[in-house]
Amino acid sequence: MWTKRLVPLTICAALAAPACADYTHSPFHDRPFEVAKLAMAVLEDRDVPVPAHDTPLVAAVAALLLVSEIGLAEAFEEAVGGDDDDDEDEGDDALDDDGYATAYGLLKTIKPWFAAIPQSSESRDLIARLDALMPTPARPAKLDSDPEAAEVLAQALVGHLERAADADLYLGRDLARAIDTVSGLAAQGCAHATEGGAEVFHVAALYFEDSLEAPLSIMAAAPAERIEDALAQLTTATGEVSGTCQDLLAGFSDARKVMFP
Amino acid sequence: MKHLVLSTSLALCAGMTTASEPFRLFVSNEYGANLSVMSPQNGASGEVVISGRPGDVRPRGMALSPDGRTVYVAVSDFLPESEQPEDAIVAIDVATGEVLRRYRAGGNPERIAISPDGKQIWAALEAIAQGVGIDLETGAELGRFPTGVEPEGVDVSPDGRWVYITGETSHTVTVIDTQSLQLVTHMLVGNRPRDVVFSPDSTRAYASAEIGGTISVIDVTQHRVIDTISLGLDARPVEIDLSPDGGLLYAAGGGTSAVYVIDTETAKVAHIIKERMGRRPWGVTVSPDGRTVYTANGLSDSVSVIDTSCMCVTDQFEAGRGAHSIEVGHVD
Repeated sequence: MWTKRLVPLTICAALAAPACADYTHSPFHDRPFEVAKLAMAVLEDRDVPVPAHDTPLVAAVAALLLVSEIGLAEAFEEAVGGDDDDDEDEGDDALDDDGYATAYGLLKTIKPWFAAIPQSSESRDLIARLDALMPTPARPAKLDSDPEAAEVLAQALVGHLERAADADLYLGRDLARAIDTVSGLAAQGCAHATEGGAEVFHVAALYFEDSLEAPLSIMAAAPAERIEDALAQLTTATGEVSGTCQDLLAGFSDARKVMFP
Repeated sequence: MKHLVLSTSLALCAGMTTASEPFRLFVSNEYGANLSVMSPQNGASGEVVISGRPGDVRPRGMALSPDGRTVYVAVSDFLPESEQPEDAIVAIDVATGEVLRRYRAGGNPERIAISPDGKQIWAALEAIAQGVGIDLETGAELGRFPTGVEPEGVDVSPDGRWVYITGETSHTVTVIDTQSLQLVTHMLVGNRPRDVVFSPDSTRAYASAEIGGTISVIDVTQHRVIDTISLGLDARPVEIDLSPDGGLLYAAGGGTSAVYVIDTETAKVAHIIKERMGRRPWGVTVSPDGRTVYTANGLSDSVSVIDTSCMCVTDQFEAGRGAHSIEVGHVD
């Protein structure tokens, strides 16, 4: 599998992550495709056995399902109606109900993954608080007004997962390294565009949105726009992609130069 | 209409601290829609009601006037797409708890800072990615400026020249020149910067990074990060405050339920205070004499009292729901 050949392209940038060696494992950098593919399989309700022998991988998948754009916290935010990105064309009620059902389902789905990680009283309390936020399969008559109520708890849980798994679970903690990891994924997708590249582009787009889009939009707006446009095309492309790939990789290269001259 | 009526019913309740004490603690309770008002000595408390809609209206960041006699609190709700009457910065008299004035501030004001001359207030408007300056005398807006994504921490340099505003999601600090009222630049700092403070001499600023587990040290003369102090990746620094002489930086450790004490001269962590700390300390403030540090603890709804001579927690006071920020106001 070509994905096994993915390696981090650079070491930590000194300024951006002076403490990057605090944790032994970096699953989001060492095997970004594997993590995201597993998380997406869980989201698609496929029967995914929890790889309990591989604690960093379990923790990374759980983290992605908690706090990424496809995670529980984001779904809860939609349920409460505080997400500015809501599609205006959709009925609010339908959208909110979907958000709640998604968040509730994710909480149930994630639990076996939590169970594979050593727990503490703190983490058990955080999970109990998430249960209290989403107590029933159907949306409660009164939902917490704070769209970020689940995120606060989910972020604290990721902190617990990091310590329990001895793994860095934030791809964007070291931005320079994150640019390299995501651009590495993009390059692999481009190199294998005819043999499943779209799936890789989907993963790259997820990580880009999660970790890079906001900082690049402020510090390197033009490259960010090129990357975003190219990824949008490549995730749906069916034909020749070499021109778009050139744009994509140039965008990453330019972004890195602007962010870390 | 109901909201308007309730929002103006701010009143000081019974049980207030005695008038003989020179200081009072003010704690904003994000989910209680109120402020706890406490005696620094024994935690005996009263309450300032911000709104009759607890859970919907959220008081968060606070700041003090230079004389310490007025406390300002940023108030917003969970409906960032529409401006409600309760989206405001509320000025409260420290001695009486009376509401002195409300300043309109739509866009979800999260944290605020007062200029050293007491004439301007600056707010980070979380929902619309802007910083706003307001003339405290006239209430007029001095200007609005684009910031990073989800602006949060804000401070005005002691010389009055610069405003720094953190962008939580873009990992940036935005610089505004208060003289020319121009946006100067954006700087990249650590991941998820929550707060920023200037040194007393205005030459340095410190920005906390919750996910980065770092404090970025900024050279204010160049608006450039010159050092990054690591607290460890499992640290979660959020609100920060300096000792009066600028020698120690206190960082509330949020999810780690700790307070990190950094020696600014050596740029090293000097102490980590965990024992007896409340859960999820979010706000932190240093007493005017530097001898005591207080934290507002969001998950345990409490205030931890830290004696800086032993760097240990000596007491716990009960606060309201979702304690967010804390300030020490001056009565005398």
